Amino acid sequence: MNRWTCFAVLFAALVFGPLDCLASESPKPLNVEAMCFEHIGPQDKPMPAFCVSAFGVAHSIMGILRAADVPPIQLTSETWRALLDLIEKEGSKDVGHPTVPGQYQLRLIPLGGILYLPPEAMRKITLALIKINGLNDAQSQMLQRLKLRIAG
Amino acid sequence: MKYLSRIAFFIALSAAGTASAVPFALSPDGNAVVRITPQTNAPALDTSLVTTAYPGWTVTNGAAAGGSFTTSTYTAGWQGGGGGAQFVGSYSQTNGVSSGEQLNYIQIINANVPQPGITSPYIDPQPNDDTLPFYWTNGEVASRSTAKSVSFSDFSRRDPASLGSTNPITWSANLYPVVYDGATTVVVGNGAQWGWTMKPATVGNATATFNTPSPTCPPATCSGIGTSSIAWGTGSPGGMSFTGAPFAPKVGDAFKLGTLSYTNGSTTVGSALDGISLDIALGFDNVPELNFVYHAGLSINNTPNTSDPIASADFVNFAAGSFSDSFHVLEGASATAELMAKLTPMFSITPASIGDKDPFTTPDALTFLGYNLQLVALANPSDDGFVTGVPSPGTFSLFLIGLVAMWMVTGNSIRLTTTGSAPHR
Repeated sequence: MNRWTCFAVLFAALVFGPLDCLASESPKPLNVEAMCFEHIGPQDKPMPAFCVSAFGVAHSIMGILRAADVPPIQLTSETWRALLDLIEKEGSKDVGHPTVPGQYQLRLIPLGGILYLPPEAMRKITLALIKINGLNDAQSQMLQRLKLRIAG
Repeated sequence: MKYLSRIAFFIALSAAGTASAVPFALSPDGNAVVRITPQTNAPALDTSLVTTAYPGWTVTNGAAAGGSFTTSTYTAGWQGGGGGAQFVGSYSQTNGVSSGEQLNYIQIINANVPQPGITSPYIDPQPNDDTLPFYWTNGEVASRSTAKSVSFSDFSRRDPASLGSTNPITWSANLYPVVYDGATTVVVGNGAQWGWTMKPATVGNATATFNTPSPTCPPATCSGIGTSSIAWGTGSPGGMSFTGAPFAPKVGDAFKLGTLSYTNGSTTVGSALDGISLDIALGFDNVPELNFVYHAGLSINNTPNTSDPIASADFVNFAAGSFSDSFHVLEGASATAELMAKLTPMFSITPASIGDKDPFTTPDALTFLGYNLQLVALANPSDDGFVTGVPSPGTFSLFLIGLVAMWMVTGNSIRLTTTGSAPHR
C-alpha cells in the first residue's frame, strides 16, 4: 500500500465512518414492535403517559412497558401500520423548545430511538386511538383526558 | 481532593434521607437550577375562583371532617426537558365520607409562567380534563381514594428556556382536600402550599487571593499574602493583583473571570518570589452549595535585563491543567490582562440494567455533581503587556496533519525526480 492509498483509507475512515454511524442512528419506525409516549415540556398536572404495541408482541417486550399510566394498548396490524405511517409523517427528530403542553416524545422499542411529536400530531394520534375497538375503561378514560388537555 | 470533596457532598446529599430531602436540582446541562420552597399551610381557598368558573356551585371552607395531609415526597427535579418539583402525599380522615360523597382535591396554581392563555391564579389542570373543578377526574379518583383517604401526586415543571423572558420562574400551588357530594356542593379542608423556583445556575462572582509563596517569606520579602494584591522584593518591588468579575455564562462558554494586574519591578537578588498560588473562589448566587475554590499555580519569571525590551520583560506563567499562557510585562511597567475561563459540568453515570430498561428513563442516568473550572485564555493585555502561550491541542493536531501532508507531497516529488533509482523504503 503506497502513501496515497494509506492516506485515502485514513481519510475515508475519518470522514465517512462517523457519517455512516450517524446515518445508522436514524430510527426505522417500520421495524418497531412497541412505542411509548411521554409528555415533554411545561405541565402542571402531569399529562398521561402510555404505550402502544403491535398485537401479539413477545412477552419480553411487553414486560418493559410497565411505566405507563395504563396497560399497553394493543393494536391490530392494520391500525398499527396506520399509526406507524402517521408517526413517520408527523414525527421529528428535533425537540425544539416546547412552550405549550401537548408535545410528546416517542420511544421506539426495541430500537431505542426517540421521535418528537408536536401537540397537533399528538392530538391526531389520540383521536385515532380513541376510535379503536378493545380499549379497556382505563385506556379509554386516559385517552379522553388526553384529548381534552391537548388544545386543538 | 477538590473532586473528592464535591463527590462527598453529593453522597451526603443523597444519604440525607428520602428523595423528599433533596431541596434543589441542576438541569442536565448545568445551566439552570430548581429549588423547592418550604411547604406551609395554605390560606383558606378563595371560593370565588371555583364559583366563578362553576356558577351555581356551593363551595365552603371548613375542616373537611378534620383530616390531615401527609407529604411523602417533595423533591426538586428535572423531567421531560423541564425543571420543577415532585410532590406526593395523601389526605386521610378518621371518619369515612357518606355514600355518594367523594374525597378529591382542588389545586390552585399561582405561576408567573402560567399555561398559555391562562391568568394566575387558576384551577389545575388547564385545559381541564373533565367538567369538574377537581384535580382527579372521577375515573382517576376511583383508584386513588377510599371513604377515608385520597392520594395525591404531581410533577409540575417549566421549560428553562422561559428564563430568557422570566427570571426567576416561580410556581406555587395551594392544595386543598375536598369532600364532594357528587352534585354541586364542595366542602374544602385545610390546604398545603408547595412550589418551586427556577433560576440560572451559573450566575455569580469570582474573587481570588494569593497564597503559598515560593520561596516562603522570609527568606523572600513579600506582603499581601492571603489577599487579592501582593508585592514582593526589595528595591523596586514587583507585584500582582487580581480583581474578580461577576459572571453569568452558559456552561461551556468562555467568560471573564477577572483581571490580573502585574507590575515588573527591579528587585534585589534573593528577595523576589518565583512562584505563588492564585486561589480563585467561585461563588454561585443561586446554588451556593456548588461554590468552590480553584487553585492555579503561577511561576514568576524574572528575566535578565538586556537592550531588548521584549526579551527583558518579566512574565508570570500559568500552570493550570492544559492552560500554560504567560503574561509578559515590560521592565518597570505595570499592565493588565483579562483571565478567561469556562465552566464544564461534572457528572456521575449510573448505567441502566440492560434487562430492566424502563422506557420512561434515559438508558444511563446522569447525575449532575458540580462544575469544573477550566482556564482558557489571557486576553486583552493593556499597553506594556503581551501574552504568549503554547498551541492548544486542536491547533497542534492541525499542525501535525499539515506535517503529514507535507511529508506525502515531499516524498512523492522526490520519487518523481529520482527516475531510475531504487524506490524509497
